[in-house]
Amino acid sequence: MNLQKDICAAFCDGLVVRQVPVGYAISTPVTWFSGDNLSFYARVEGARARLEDSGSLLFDLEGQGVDFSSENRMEILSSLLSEHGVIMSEEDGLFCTEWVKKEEIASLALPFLTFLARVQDLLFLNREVVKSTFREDLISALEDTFTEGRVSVSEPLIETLPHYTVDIVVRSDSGKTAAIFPATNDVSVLRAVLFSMEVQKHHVANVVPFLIYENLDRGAITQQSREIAFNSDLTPAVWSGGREEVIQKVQRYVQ
Amino acid sequence: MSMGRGWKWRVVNFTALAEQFVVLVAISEEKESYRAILAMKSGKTLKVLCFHELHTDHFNWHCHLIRGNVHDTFAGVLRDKNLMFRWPSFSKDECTVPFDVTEDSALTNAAARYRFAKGGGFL
Repeated sequence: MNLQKDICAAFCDGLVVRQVPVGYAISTPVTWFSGDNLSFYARVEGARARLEDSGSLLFDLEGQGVDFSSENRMEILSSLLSEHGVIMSEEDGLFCTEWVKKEEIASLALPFLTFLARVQDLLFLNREVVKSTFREDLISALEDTFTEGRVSVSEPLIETLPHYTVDIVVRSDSGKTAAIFPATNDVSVLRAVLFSMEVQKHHVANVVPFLIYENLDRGAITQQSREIAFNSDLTPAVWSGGREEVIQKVQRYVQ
Repeated sequence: MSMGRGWKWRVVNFTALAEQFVVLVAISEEKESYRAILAMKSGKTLKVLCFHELHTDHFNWHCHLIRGNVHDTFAGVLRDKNLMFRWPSFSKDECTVPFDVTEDSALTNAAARYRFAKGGGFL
Protein backbone atom coordinates (compact mmCIF):
# COMPACT_ATOMS: atom_id res chain seq x y z
CA MET A 1 0.00 0.00 0.00
CA ASN A 2 1.30 3.42 -0.88
CA LEU A 3 -0.49 5.68 1.56
CA GLN A 4 0.87 8.86 0.03
CA LYS A 5 -0.41 7.80 -3.37
CA ASP A 6 -3.81 6.83 -1.95
CA ILE A 7 -4.21 10.12 -0.09
CA CYS A 8 -3.08 12.02 -3.15
CA ALA A 9 -5.70 10.19 -5.23
CA ALA A 10 -8.39 10.91 -2.62
CA PHE A 11 -7.59 14.63 -2.92
CA CYS A 12 -7.16 14.81 -6.64
CA ASP A 13 -9.80 12.43 -7.99
CA GLY A 14 -12.53 14.79 -6.83
CA LEU A 15 -10.84 17.85 -8.28
CA VAL A 16 -12.43 19.10 -11.50
CA VAL A 17 -11.26 22.18 -13.39
CA ARG A 18 -13.50 23.51 -16.12
CA GLN A 19 -13.17 26.55 -18.33
CA VAL A 20 -15.85 29.19 -17.84
CA PRO A 21 -16.08 32.72 -19.28
CA VAL A 22 -14.41 34.30 -16.23
CA GLY A 23 -11.47 31.85 -16.41
CA TYR A 24 -11.76 28.53 -14.60
CA ALA A 25 -14.25 26.86 -12.25
CA ILE A 26 -12.49 24.63 -9.74
CA SER A 27 -14.64 22.01 -8.03
CA THR A 28 -13.08 20.23 -5.05
CA PRO A 29 -13.90 17.03 -3.15
CA VAL A 30 -14.60 19.09 -0.02
CA THR A 31 -18.29 19.29 0.87
CA TRP A 32 -19.88 22.70 1.14
CA PHE A 33 -22.53 23.48 3.78
CA SER A 34 -25.18 23.25 1.06
CA GLY A 35 -24.29 19.59 0.48
CA ASP A 36 -22.71 20.38 -2.90
CA ASN A 37 -18.99 20.26 -3.55
CA LEU A 38 -17.01 23.29 -2.53
CA SER A 39 -16.01 25.24 -5.64
CA PHE A 40 -14.13 28.40 -6.40
CA TYR A 41 -13.05 30.29 -9.49
CA ALA A 42 -9.89 31.61 -11.09
CA ARG A 43 -10.57 34.95 -12.74
CA VAL A 44 -8.08 35.46 -15.54
CA GLU A 45 -7.43 38.90 -17.01
CA GLY A 46 -4.61 38.87 -19.55
CA ALA A 47 -1.43 37.72 -17.83
CA ARG A 48 -2.81 38.04 -14.30
CA ALA A 49 -5.26 35.97 -12.31
CA ARG A 50 -6.84 35.72 -8.89
CA LEU A 51 -9.00 33.20 -7.06
CA GLU A 52 -12.49 34.15 -5.93
CA ASP A 53 -15.64 32.58 -4.56
CA SER A 54 -18.80 32.21 -6.63
CA GLY A 55 -19.92 35.69 -5.66
CA SER A 56 -22.85 34.32 -3.71
CA LEU A 57 -20.92 33.22 -0.61
CA LEU A 58 -21.59 36.35 1.44
CA PHE A 59 -25.27 36.16 0.48
CA ASP A 60 -25.41 32.44 1.33
CA LEU A 61 -23.73 32.86 4.70
CA GLU A 62 -25.95 35.79 5.64
CA GLY A 63 -28.97 33.84 4.43
CA GLN A 64 -27.94 30.99 6.68
CA GLY A 65 -27.92 33.30 9.68
CA VAL A 66 -24.36 34.63 9.88
CA ASP A 67 -24.55 38.22 11.09
CA PHE A 68 -21.65 40.18 9.61
CA SER A 69 -22.66 43.26 11.58
CA SER A 70 -21.60 41.42 14.73
CA GLU A 71 -18.22 42.53 16.01
CA ASN A 72 -17.41 39.03 17.24
CA ARG A 73 -18.02 37.44 13.83
CA MET A 74 -16.15 40.16 12.01
CA GLU A 75 -13.14 39.61 14.27
CA ILE A 76 -13.17 35.89 13.46
CA LEU A 77 -13.64 36.61 9.78
CA SER A 78 -10.77 39.16 9.75
CA SER A 79 -8.48 36.65 11.38
CA LEU A 80 -9.46 33.94 8.85
CA LEU A 81 -8.86 36.38 6.00
CA SER A 82 -5.41 37.40 7.16
CA GLU A 83 -4.35 33.82 8.03
CA HIS A 84 -5.09 32.67 4.48
CA GLY A 85 -4.15 35.74 2.49
CA VAL A 86 -7.72 36.36 1.39
CA ILE A 87 -9.39 39.72 0.84
CA MET A 88 -13.04 40.58 1.25
CA SER A 89 -13.63 42.89 -1.68
CA GLU A 90 -16.56 45.10 -0.68
CA GLU A 91 -16.57 46.63 -4.14
CA ASP A 92 -17.04 43.25 -5.85
CA GLY A 93 -19.00 41.66 -2.97
CA LEU A 94 -16.82 38.58 -2.84
CA PHE A 95 -13.85 36.89 -1.23
CA CYS A 96 -10.73 36.80 -3.39
CA THR A 97 -6.95 36.58 -3.39
CA GLU A 98 -4.49 39.21 -4.59
CA TRP A 99 -3.83 39.32 -8.32
CA VAL A 100 -0.80 37.23 -9.26
CA LYS A 101 0.85 36.12 -12.49
CA LYS A 102 -1.37 33.56 -14.22
CA GLU A 103 1.23 30.83 -13.91
CA GLU A 104 1.42 31.34 -10.11
CA ILE A 105 -2.29 30.97 -9.44
CA ALA A 106 -2.13 27.28 -8.45
CA SER A 107 0.01 28.14 -5.41
CA LEU A 108 -2.90 30.11 -3.96
CA ALA A 109 -5.39 27.26 -4.32
CA LEU A 110 -4.74 25.41 -1.07
CA PRO A 111 -4.85 28.45 1.26
CA PHE A 112 -7.96 29.70 -0.54
CA LEU A 113 -9.66 26.31 -0.28
CA THR A 114 -8.75 26.13 3.41
CA PHE A 115 -10.23 29.58 3.93
CA LEU A 116 -13.50 28.58 2.25
CA ALA A 117 -13.71 25.39 4.27
CA ARG A 118 -13.09 27.29 7.49
CA VAL A 119 -15.35 30.25 6.81
CA GLN A 120 -18.26 27.80 7.04
CA ASP A 121 -17.51 27.56 10.75
CA LEU A 122 -19.15 30.96 11.10
CA LEU A 123 -22.39 29.07 10.65
CA PHE A 124 -21.88 27.48 14.04
CA LEU A 125 -21.94 30.90 15.62
CA ASN A 126 -25.41 31.78 14.43
CA ARG A 127 -27.37 30.15 17.22
CA GLU A 128 -28.65 33.41 18.67
CA VAL A 129 -29.72 34.66 15.25
CA VAL A 130 -31.66 31.51 14.48
CA LYS A 131 -33.24 31.48 17.90
CA SER A 132 -34.29 35.09 17.51
CA THR A 133 -36.88 34.26 14.83
CA PHE A 134 -39.15 32.91 17.58
CA ARG A 135 -38.57 36.04 19.64
CA GLU A 136 -39.17 38.27 16.59
CA ASP A 137 -42.34 36.37 15.68
CA LEU A 138 -43.63 36.75 19.22
CA ILE A 139 -42.88 40.49 19.29
CA SER A 140 -44.54 41.08 15.95
CA ALA A 141 -47.68 39.10 16.97
CA LEU A 142 -47.90 41.15 20.20
CA GLU A 143 -47.45 44.39 18.25
CA ASP A 144 -50.24 43.36 15.89
CA THR A 145 -52.58 42.81 18.84
CA PHE A 146 -51.63 45.54 21.28
CA THR A 147 -50.39 48.18 18.81
CA GLU A 148 -46.71 49.00 18.66
CA GLY A 149 -46.76 51.79 21.24
CA ARG A 150 -47.90 49.36 23.92
CA VAL A 151 -45.08 46.90 23.29
CA SER A 152 -41.45 47.58 24.16
CA VAL A 153 -38.38 45.38 24.33
CA SER A 154 -35.43 45.05 26.71
CA GLU A 155 -36.82 47.35 29.34
CA PRO A 156 -35.96 47.58 33.05
CA LEU A 157 -39.66 47.59 33.90
CA ILE A 158 -39.50 48.24 37.62
CA GLU A 159 -37.71 51.35 38.79
CA THR A 160 -36.47 49.75 42.00
CA LEU A 161 -35.09 46.76 40.06
CA PRO A 162 -32.97 48.43 37.35
CA HIS A 163 -30.84 45.32 36.73
CA TYR A 164 -33.81 43.15 35.85
CA THR A 165 -34.40 43.76 32.16
CA VAL A 166 -37.62 42.36 30.79
CA ASP A 167 -37.38 41.00 27.23
CA ILE A 168 -40.85 42.14 26.10
CA VAL A 169 -43.12 44.52 27.98
CA VAL A 170 -46.80 44.84 27.04
CA ARG A 171 -48.85 47.58 28.71
CA SER A 172 -52.63 47.28 28.62
CA ASP A 173 -55.32 49.94 29.09
CA SER A 174 -56.30 48.35 32.40
CA GLY A 175 -53.01 49.46 33.94
CA LYS A 176 -51.69 45.92 34.12
CA THR A 177 -48.41 45.03 32.42
CA ALA A 178 -47.20 41.73 30.99
CA ALA A 179 -43.48 41.08 31.53
CA ILE A 180 -42.71 38.49 28.90
CA PHE A 181 -39.62 36.29 28.69
CA PRO A 182 -39.30 34.15 25.54
CA ALA A 183 -37.69 30.89 26.71
CA THR A 184 -34.88 30.61 24.20
CA ASN A 185 -32.28 29.04 26.51
CA ASP A 186 -31.60 28.18 30.16
CA VAL A 187 -30.40 31.68 30.96
CA SER A 188 -33.60 33.30 29.71
CA VAL A 189 -35.68 30.85 31.75
CA LEU A 190 -33.73 31.47 34.95
CA ARG A 191 -33.83 35.24 34.37
CA ALA A 192 -37.62 34.98 34.17
CA VAL A 193 -37.77 32.93 37.38
CA LEU A 194 -35.58 35.46 39.20
CA PHE A 195 -37.69 38.34 37.96
CA SER A 196 -40.92 36.71 39.13
CA MET A 197 -39.38 36.06 42.56
CA GLU A 198 -38.35 39.70 42.85
CA VAL A 199 -41.83 40.86 41.82
CA GLN A 200 -43.29 38.72 44.57
CA LYS A 201 -40.69 39.73 47.16
CA HIS A 202 -41.17 43.44 46.55
CA HIS A 203 -44.97 43.16 46.31
CA VAL A 204 -45.00 44.75 42.87
CA ALA A 205 -48.61 45.08 41.79
CA ASN A 206 -50.09 44.85 38.32
CA VAL A 207 -47.13 43.10 36.69
CA VAL A 208 -47.74 39.61 35.30
CA PRO A 209 -44.51 37.74 34.45
CA PHE A 210 -44.84 35.33 31.54
CA LEU A 211 -42.47 32.65 30.32
CA ILE A 212 -43.28 31.64 26.75
CA TYR A 213 -41.68 28.51 25.31
CA GLU A 214 -41.18 28.07 21.59
CA ASN A 215 -42.12 24.40 22.04
CA LEU A 216 -41.65 21.68 24.61
CA ASP A 217 -39.86 19.08 22.54
CA ARG A 218 -36.52 20.67 21.75
CA GLY A 219 -33.46 20.39 23.90
CA ALA A 220 -32.43 24.04 24.18
CA ILE A 221 -33.68 24.19 27.77
CA THR A 222 -32.73 21.61 30.34
CA GLN A 223 -35.37 19.65 32.19
CA GLN A 224 -34.12 21.09 35.47
CA SER A 225 -34.72 24.67 34.30
CA ARG A 226 -38.17 23.75 33.02
CA GLU A 227 -39.08 22.21 36.37
CA ILE A 228 -37.87 25.26 38.28
CA ALA A 229 -39.93 27.48 35.97
CA PHE A 230 -43.09 25.35 36.25
CA ASN A 231 -42.92 25.50 40.04
CA SER A 232 -42.43 29.27 40.08
CA ASP A 233 -45.09 31.98 39.85
CA LEU A 234 -44.42 32.53 36.16
CA THR A 235 -47.38 32.20 33.83
CA PRO A 236 -46.37 29.69 31.18
CA ALA A 237 -47.43 29.49 27.54
CA VAL A 238 -46.23 27.46 24.54
CA TRP A 239 -45.90 29.15 21.14
CA SER A 240 -46.11 25.91 19.15
CA GLY A 241 -49.35 25.03 20.94
CA GLY A 242 -51.14 27.89 19.15
CA ARG A 243 -49.90 31.40 18.55
CA GLU A 244 -53.35 32.95 18.83
CA GLU A 245 -54.01 31.17 22.12
CA VAL A 246 -50.74 32.54 23.52
CA ILE A 247 -51.61 36.11 22.53
CA GLN A 248 -55.16 35.70 23.87
CA LYS A 249 -53.77 34.39 27.13
CA VAL A 250 -51.57 37.47 27.50
CA GLN A 251 -54.61 39.64 26.70
CA ARG A 252 -56.76 37.90 29.34
CA TYR A 253 -54.14 38.18 32.07
CA VAL A 254 -53.61 41.91 31.64
CA GLN A 255 -57.25 42.89 31.11
CA MET B 1 -29.73 42.14 -0.62
CA SER B 2 -26.46 42.06 -2.48
CA MET B 3 -24.71 39.47 -4.60
CA GLY B 4 -21.16 39.63 -5.85
CA ARG B 5 -19.63 40.87 -9.07
CA GLY B 6 -21.13 39.43 -12.22
CA TRP B 7 -24.48 38.41 -10.68
CA LYS B 8 -27.80 39.73 -11.93
CA TRP B 9 -31.00 38.99 -10.07
CA ARG B 10 -34.66 39.73 -9.67
CA VAL B 11 -37.46 38.78 -7.30
CA VAL B 12 -40.84 37.41 -8.38
CA ASN B 13 -43.92 37.34 -6.15
CA PHE B 14 -46.97 35.20 -6.77
CA THR B 15 -49.87 33.65 -4.90
CA ALA B 16 -50.94 30.02 -5.14
CA LEU B 17 -52.75 27.52 -2.93
CA ALA B 18 -53.70 30.40 -0.61
CA GLU B 19 -50.02 31.04 0.13
CA GLN B 20 -47.71 33.83 -1.00
CA PHE B 21 -44.49 32.79 -2.72
CA VAL B 22 -41.29 34.63 -3.56
CA VAL B 23 -38.73 33.49 -6.12
CA LEU B 24 -35.21 34.89 -6.30
CA VAL B 25 -33.83 34.35 -9.79
CA ALA B 26 -30.10 34.99 -10.05
CA ILE B 27 -27.54 34.38 -12.77
CA SER B 28 -23.82 34.85 -13.22
CA GLU B 29 -23.08 34.19 -16.86
CA GLU B 30 -19.35 34.74 -16.37
CA LYS B 31 -19.22 31.96 -13.77
CA GLU B 32 -21.89 29.85 -15.47
CA SER B 33 -24.04 29.75 -12.38
CA TYR B 34 -27.81 29.98 -12.14
CA ARG B 35 -30.22 29.60 -9.26
CA ALA B 36 -33.94 30.11 -8.74
CA ILE B 37 -34.86 30.01 -5.07
CA LEU B 38 -38.50 29.42 -4.15
CA ALA B 39 -39.70 30.59 -0.74
CA MET B 40 -43.07 30.70 0.95
CA LYS B 41 -44.03 33.68 3.10
CA SER B 42 -44.45 32.81 6.75
CA GLY B 43 -45.51 35.81 8.83
CA LYS B 44 -42.83 38.44 8.37
CA THR B 45 -40.21 35.96 7.23
CA LEU B 46 -39.78 33.25 4.59
CA LYS B 47 -39.54 29.48 4.44
CA VAL B 48 -37.15 28.49 1.65
CA LEU B 49 -38.53 25.45 -0.14
CA CYS B 50 -36.37 24.86 -3.20
CA PHE B 51 -33.16 25.83 -4.99
CA HIS B 52 -33.31 25.05 -8.69
CA GLU B 53 -29.72 25.26 -9.92
CA LEU B 54 -27.26 24.83 -12.72
CA HIS B 55 -23.62 25.65 -12.03
CA THR B 56 -21.19 24.01 -14.36
CA ASP B 57 -18.45 23.56 -11.75
CA HIS B 58 -20.24 20.33 -10.84
CA PHE B 59 -23.43 18.33 -11.42
CA ASN B 60 -26.10 18.90 -14.02
CA TRP B 61 -29.44 20.61 -13.36
CA HIS B 62 -30.51 19.82 -9.82
CA CYS B 63 -32.66 20.99 -6.95
CA HIS B 64 -32.19 21.27 -3.22
CA LEU B 65 -35.70 20.90 -1.91
CA ILE B 66 -37.70 20.41 1.26
CA ARG B 67 -39.07 16.92 1.58
CA GLY B 68 -42.18 16.37 3.66
CA ASN B 69 -44.56 19.00 4.97
CA VAL B 70 -43.25 22.34 3.73
CA HIS B 71 -44.96 24.10 6.64
CA ASP B 72 -42.48 22.37 8.96
CA THR B 73 -39.56 24.14 7.23
CA PHE B 74 -37.44 26.20 9.59
CA ALA B 75 -38.21 29.82 8.74
CA GLY B 76 -35.70 32.61 8.17
CA VAL B 77 -32.75 30.57 6.87
CA LEU B 78 -31.70 29.71 3.33
CA ARG B 79 -31.44 26.00 3.96
CA ASP B 80 -33.18 23.95 6.60
CA LYS B 81 -30.47 21.32 6.87
CA ASN B 82 -32.85 18.84 8.51
CA LEU B 83 -35.40 18.81 5.72
CA MET B 84 -33.55 19.90 2.57
CA PHE B 85 -32.22 17.27 0.18
CA ARG B 86 -30.55 17.34 -3.19
CA TRP B 87 -32.39 15.80 -6.14
CA PRO B 88 -31.50 13.99 -8.29
CA SER B 89 -28.29 12.28 -7.20
CA PHE B 90 -25.47 11.95 -9.72
CA SER B 91 -22.98 9.17 -10.26
CA LYS B 92 -20.39 11.67 -11.54
CA ASP B 93 -19.47 15.04 -10.09
CA GLU B 94 -18.81 16.63 -13.46
CA CYS B 95 -21.34 18.77 -15.25
CA THR B 96 -22.04 17.31 -18.68
CA VAL B 97 -24.59 19.80 -19.97
CA PRO B 98 -23.79 23.18 -21.50
CA PHE B 99 -24.63 26.34 -19.59
CA ASP B 100 -27.38 27.54 -21.88
CA VAL B 101 -29.10 29.92 -19.46
CA THR B 102 -28.96 33.59 -20.36
CA GLU B 103 -30.30 36.71 -18.71
CA ASP B 104 -33.20 36.43 -21.18
CA SER B 105 -34.03 32.80 -20.41
CA ALA B 106 -33.31 32.85 -16.66
CA LEU B 107 -36.82 33.93 -15.77
CA THR B 108 -38.42 31.51 -18.25
CA ASN B 109 -36.54 28.63 -16.58
CA ALA B 110 -37.75 29.63 -13.13
CA ALA B 111 -41.30 30.18 -14.40
CA ALA B 112 -41.36 26.73 -15.98
CA ARG B 113 -40.01 25.04 -12.85
CA TYR B 114 -42.29 26.84 -10.39
CA ARG B 115 -45.22 27.40 -12.77
CA PHE B 116 -45.77 31.14 -12.55
CA ALA B 117 -46.44 33.67 -15.31
CA LYS B 118 -43.31 35.64 -16.18
CA GLY B 119 -42.90 39.37 -16.77
CA GLY B 120 -40.36 42.16 -16.14
CA GLY B 121 -36.56 42.24 -16.29
CA PHE B 122 -33.40 41.89 -14.19
CA LEU B 123 -31.63 44.32 -11.88
